[in-house]
Amino acid sequence: MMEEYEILRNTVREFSSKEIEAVSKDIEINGIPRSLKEKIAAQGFLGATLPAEKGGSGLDEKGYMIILEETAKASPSVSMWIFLTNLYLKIHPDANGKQDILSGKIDVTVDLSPYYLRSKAQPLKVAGGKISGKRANVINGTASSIIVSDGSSIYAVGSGMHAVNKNHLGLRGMDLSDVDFDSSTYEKVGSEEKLRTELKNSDGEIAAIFLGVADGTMAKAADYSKVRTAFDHPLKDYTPIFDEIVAARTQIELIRYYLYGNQGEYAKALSKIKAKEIALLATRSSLQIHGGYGYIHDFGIEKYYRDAMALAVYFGDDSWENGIISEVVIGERGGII
Amino acid sequence: MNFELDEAQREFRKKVEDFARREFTEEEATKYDLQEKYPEEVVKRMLKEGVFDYSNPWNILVATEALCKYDAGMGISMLVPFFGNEVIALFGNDDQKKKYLGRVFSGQAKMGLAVTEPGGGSDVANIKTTAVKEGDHYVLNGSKMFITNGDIADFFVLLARTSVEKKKHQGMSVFIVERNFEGFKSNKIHGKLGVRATDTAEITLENVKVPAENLVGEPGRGFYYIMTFFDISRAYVAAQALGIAEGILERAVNILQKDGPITSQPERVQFTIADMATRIEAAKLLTYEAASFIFNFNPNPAVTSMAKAYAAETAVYVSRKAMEITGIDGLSSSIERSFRDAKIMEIWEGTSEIEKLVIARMLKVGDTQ
Repeated sequence: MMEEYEILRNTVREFSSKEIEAVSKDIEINGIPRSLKEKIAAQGFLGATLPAEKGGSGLDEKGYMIILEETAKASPSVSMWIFLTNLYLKIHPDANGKQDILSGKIDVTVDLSPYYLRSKAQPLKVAGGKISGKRANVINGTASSIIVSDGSSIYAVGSGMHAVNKNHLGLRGMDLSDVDFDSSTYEKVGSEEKLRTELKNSDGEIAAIFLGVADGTMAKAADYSKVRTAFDHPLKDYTPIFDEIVAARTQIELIRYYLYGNQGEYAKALSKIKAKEIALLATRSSLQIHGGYGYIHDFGIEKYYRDAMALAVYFGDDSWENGIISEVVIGERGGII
Repeated sequence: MNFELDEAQREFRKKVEDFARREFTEEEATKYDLQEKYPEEVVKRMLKEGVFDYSNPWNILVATEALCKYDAGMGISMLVPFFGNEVIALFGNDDQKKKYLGRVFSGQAKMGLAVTEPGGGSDVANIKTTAVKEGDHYVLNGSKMFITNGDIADFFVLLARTSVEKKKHQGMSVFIVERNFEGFKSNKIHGKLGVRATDTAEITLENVKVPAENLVGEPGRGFYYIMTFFDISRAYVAAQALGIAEGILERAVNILQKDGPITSQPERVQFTIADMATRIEAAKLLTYEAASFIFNFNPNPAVTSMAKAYAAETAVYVSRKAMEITGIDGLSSSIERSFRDAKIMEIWEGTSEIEKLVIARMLKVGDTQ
């Protein structure tokens, strides 16, 4: 079994370095190209955990986490796009036009804005055969279909959406949009609780994305430290830089070992919090090691710094995780004042 | 000891803040950030209104802090037309001061400082640009990287190697190089993470003839002149970082206060705010202490480097913590831009790593056993 995961990891890594890395800088400016989306689909990364009879790849959670982690190393935007597409299909496995989603021909997304840190998203209104209202900060809000909540149920909306793109800090491979909903083309997918539960169950996957961001940028820092010299020595020879690279690596390895070696919500909650922390730390460290070159687009480093922070806001509400951890560590609820 | 600005300084600061509040609107700041455009018109208005007072270094420090509080990209753009002037003021001759600084201070010209090269920023002694004397001029060849004002300045104070000596930091000299000298080329760098209103470029020099009279000070003393300049300018960079941090804290608190008093926030958020504010206050003391040493002609390089490194770290820390406590509100506000701006503080005018080396080297300790 272990070997299978290793084979999968190598396959995704190879695909990622060949297909994603090559266009990763362009993705930041022009978005994820359709051709790449179709290649990702052809690899079976969309509908990763759906069973084969539903058109998916039938992977378990660990296999799916490997996909997210390895793609995030080259492009956090791409990893997040895969995550959103998979989330959509998990919640709505019999969606209309599923074939087009699974083949990467059309984009779908899930409105996560009610779950962002300090969100004040107002529920949409469903009445008289129409769904209407506004949602701010929808990731990939220009997608063909958006799963959105009215506070008690969730709906897949397929038309009547007007998305206004905004400037945004991170994950620039996708738009961030304020979306106006006024649609009669929608289907009820289930209860809002279904989405909430699915998100809570995604802690391992979110941890994998953060871990990929941290590892991807630190690997580049380690490479750079070998070729860049200052005061007649490569950067890697200087103890402070060496220590930073090693410290980040140590944490990444330990979190990865723990994340993939444990199951259950407690382990995933811990991993998500810790992986977020290392992503923030590593992206800052890597940019600093790259110096002035890290600060400009051309080197493909600054995007990790932006993306880690944006992800930390989108997935920054740790109240659910803290609740789980509290039950284990303290035996009851804590940390509420 | 007096920890307050005097009345004249407070009035000056108010004047600068009024200008920044009026000119650095969210709409304008977003525009210059998005378009990576230097706010030429705003700089002209600032000069015309006499907001900037170059005669008093304390006022420059106060203005730097105040402008960066409102927007770092636009704020720094207001200050950089004069960037590097201290090199000429301290080491140049009267003709150079008259010819070049006169135009800069009257707003007729902009200048820049060209030290960093593609192969080295921190390691200044390792620069490769050469200047060879031929008759009544020098011939310069090489390239310069990440040069502020590189695409817009009329002339540069530029460091080049004039001779090969045993010690690397010897044999370098400073020249005043005009943009219109033949063989001078600049190439604007696009895609900076932050401070995108400021102009940054790569410069190439191909057989550029520079008149011998444009040599600043003595030949071979260039490294010393530039390091002396950094000992001054780092206090101003500390003030930039300080201003950024102050602005972010203010905006973060204002966002949170929309939900009610700060005391109604969870204590972890209150602790974070307390921590941000404490670090800002400490950075402020260091910055003003370093400036005080410099302006009294008794510079303390260890303290200057402490101020620069600590204020930069504070700006980055505050920018990240502000995001964490304001969440999606912060992410879709101007804090997002400040978050990108803040990171440059740990890189330019000496990375934090370089500052720490300076601190360790220059630290004065007593003889406690």
